[in-house]
Amino acid sequence: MIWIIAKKELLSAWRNRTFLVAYSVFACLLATAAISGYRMYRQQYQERLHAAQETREQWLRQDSKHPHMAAHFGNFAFMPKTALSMFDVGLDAFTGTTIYLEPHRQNDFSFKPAEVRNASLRFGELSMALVLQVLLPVMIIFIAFASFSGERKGGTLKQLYAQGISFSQLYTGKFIGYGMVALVMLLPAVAMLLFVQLVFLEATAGVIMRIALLGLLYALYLLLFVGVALLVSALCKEPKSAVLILLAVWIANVILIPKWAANAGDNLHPLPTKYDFTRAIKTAIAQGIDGHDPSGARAEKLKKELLAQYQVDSTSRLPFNYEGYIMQAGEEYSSLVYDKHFAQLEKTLDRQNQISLWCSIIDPFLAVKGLSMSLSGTDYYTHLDFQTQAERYRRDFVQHMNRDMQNHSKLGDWDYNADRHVYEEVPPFKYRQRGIYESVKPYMIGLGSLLSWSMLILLSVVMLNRRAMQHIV
Amino acid sequence: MESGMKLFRFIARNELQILLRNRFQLLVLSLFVLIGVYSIYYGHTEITRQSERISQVEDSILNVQKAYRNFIQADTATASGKKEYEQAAYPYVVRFQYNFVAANKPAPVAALALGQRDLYPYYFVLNAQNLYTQTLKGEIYNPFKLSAGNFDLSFVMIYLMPLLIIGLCFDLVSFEKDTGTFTMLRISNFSFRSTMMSRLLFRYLLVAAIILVLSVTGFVVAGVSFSRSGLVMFNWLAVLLIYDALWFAILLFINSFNKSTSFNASAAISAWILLLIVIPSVLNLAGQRNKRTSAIPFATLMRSRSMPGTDAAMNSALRAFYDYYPALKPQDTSVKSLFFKYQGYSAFLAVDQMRSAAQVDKFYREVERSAARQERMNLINPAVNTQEMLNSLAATDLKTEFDFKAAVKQFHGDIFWFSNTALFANRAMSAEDYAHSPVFHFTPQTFQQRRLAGGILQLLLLALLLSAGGYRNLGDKKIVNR
Repeated sequence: MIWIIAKKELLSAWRNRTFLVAYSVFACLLATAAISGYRMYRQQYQERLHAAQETREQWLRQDSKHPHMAAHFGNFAFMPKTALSMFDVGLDAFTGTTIYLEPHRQNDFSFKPAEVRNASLRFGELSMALVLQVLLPVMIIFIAFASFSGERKGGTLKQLYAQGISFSQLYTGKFIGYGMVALVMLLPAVAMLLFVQLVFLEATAGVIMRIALLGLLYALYLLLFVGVALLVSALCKEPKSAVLILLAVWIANVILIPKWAANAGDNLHPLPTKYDFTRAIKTAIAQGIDGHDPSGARAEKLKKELLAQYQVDSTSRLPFNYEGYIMQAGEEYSSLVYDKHFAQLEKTLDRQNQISLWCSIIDPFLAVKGLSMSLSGTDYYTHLDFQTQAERYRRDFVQHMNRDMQNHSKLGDWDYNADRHVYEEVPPFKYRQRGIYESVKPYMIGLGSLLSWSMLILLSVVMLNRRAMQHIV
Repeated sequence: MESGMKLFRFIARNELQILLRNRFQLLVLSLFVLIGVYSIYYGHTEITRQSERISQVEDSILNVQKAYRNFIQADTATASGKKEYEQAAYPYVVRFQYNFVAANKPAPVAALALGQRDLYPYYFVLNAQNLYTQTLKGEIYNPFKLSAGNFDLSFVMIYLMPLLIIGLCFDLVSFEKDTGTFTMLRISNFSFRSTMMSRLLFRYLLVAAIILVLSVTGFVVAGVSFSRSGLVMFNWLAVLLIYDALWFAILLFINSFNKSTSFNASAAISAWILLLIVIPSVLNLAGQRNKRTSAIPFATLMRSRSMPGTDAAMNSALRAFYDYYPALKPQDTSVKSLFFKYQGYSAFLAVDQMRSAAQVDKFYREVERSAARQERMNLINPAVNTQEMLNSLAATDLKTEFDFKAAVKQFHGDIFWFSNTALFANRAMSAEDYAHSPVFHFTPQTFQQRRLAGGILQLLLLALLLSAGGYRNLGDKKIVNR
């Protein structure tokens, strides 16, 4: 019986002309999103690769100069486009693409693509993820809202119950039918993504694994919507009420809660201005992290320790350039200060984002959005990881240049010049993408939310037997 | 005419009664007003915070500037006085130590449409170093919040108001069929079309009243003065009322097909998805593809500017500089001036600044052209069109940002010459120089008449087209045939 019901629902979807038209529009949007996503990925990947090569060449071709001055010429870290950004652009337009790496300071991301776009960008960018997250659930609502309430209005529900079918059997049959429709709509997206990655982008095993997980994630999300739509339809006397409730749920999930959560986070935990942030760092470097260790006193203490260690009476008698040593010591101290302040900043950013993460308990859209971005490598935490790796690289390359100064020049010798050989010893920056578990770890609440909602629906169906549903037959 | 008024009065009384008895609709209206009030609160706190931050930075910079004005008059007979004097008097020290602030202060209506303000730094602390090494390095942002956009009044009006209209009107005609009064209405004294139009008019006025109340509340909370910003307020209301009318036209059009309530609800939400998600996101693809609007090639402009410290390098930089400023060229260039090396570096900076600026200006022009190309599609993109108009009235749009950037560039020129005039004259800074310290002025243009007129016209045209279609379909014969 369950299969007969499932077959009937599939058949009515197939015979529904409005659904077929909507599905064609959906398929066109999906194809457009896939093609433009792929083109964008290629374009931006090449652009960033070219910029990285060019700035590397500039670094290597700079004049022979004092190592510290050469360090000030600086290096760059360009956030590489991930192959799966063609599926989910995530936060790419709103995170910067470039970090300028120079001694003494940790810079923030520059060049957000959104900076050179008008207000329309806030309305969203067409991507395969947007189509699946936002538009596909509406299509599910439109085809499923009348599944029970329509039969009730048409009088066929009574007939079905009269044949001895239970509510859970009827629900299961309809769920299988509409679930198959939802999965059939999802399938081309996953197939298209896999095809492009395998044929055009030489996908690695990691990428294929991520695509498989994305497929499972969206399947769970869409089936959840099917489950909710059927449940609401079963509980509403009129199709009109069912469609209104479902659309209200969709709007709250997709528009209201995500926007409110992000804005409330910003409102409750405001970020410092760069001016205040930089000033606090400068003060901490000058006066010591705790305000009791001024830089002059620190340098003096270090000098005394060095003189005692090497048993000499003047810094000029040290076997290395004292200025280079003190510069690196200063760099290391400023790194401590930066670490402390950036840890505080990250904590504030994390607190802001936590509101959205916790809201994903009531909002499956937020849960899927976070997980989808993380699997595609376009979320906040991936960008944070990039920033951390870029900062580590900055410290290494500045240290390398300071050590060169320390070991190859004498005190007061600012005429010593490093050459291309020294520049080549600094390797180019390369970002290593995080593993799958590391990527999705911050979004486990979301995954828990999706599973809990699924369980809740299952439980509701088991509890709502025919007798319980009789009053709305 | 009189019978029309009579009908409207009758319908309005009836509609009001139905509204007051319908708890669901009252709940939806109250919820909308509450969300509107929250959005006003949100916008107000954001803008107040921005204003406070600007004031803090300005105060901090002004305090330092004040200290310099005292330093220049310090008693050089004392060691500390001499040190202070040297700090303020040597132009080669002052050029990179004496800072200025250039702030894009929020316009009065900014709290109601935060627009692009959260994307850009709204102040810069500047000295005579290269402008781009000081302005291109990123600010502190949360990209997640940026991508979500702002929960301001413009969001409520553009995204949620259409939903309220859908909630009020999706069953305008089908309600009569559901309740069995459709035939009764058709045989009444008044035409079916007039009855439906009067009903729509009442609901339009209801939503217009909510728009008016929320906007005026927003103006009051944001402290917008009618005498100074009356025109902006008037245009704000005009844009919203026309956008409101467009959505009523859409609902009239959908209802005119005389389909079931469920169909109407689905069609209205589909129209909402189309206008607020699908069309803007598809048109955004065009903007993305323009390679010439990528800022990545400017990465190197962030680099610290350095040059070899040799005489030859200095002379070369000065020669290039004097080509631009021949009046500053000394008569005898073979004699090294007092500040020769410092002048060499300043000359290098000035020439480099001009070259970088030409490159950046070209880029900004391309971005403006790209934005203008996108605006051409606004007829089929009414939500973005409305958002752009509100942002322009609030001076939070892309154009205002470019105007601000242009003003900052000009101000940076003044900053450069503040210390470098003395440097190239081989003299110390004076109290007179400090008395004429440049101050940044920027007043955003909140009323771009042509742009606004074009935008409003596009909204009106679309509203008229749909209303005409809907009005025609509602004709007695047509509605029965359907």
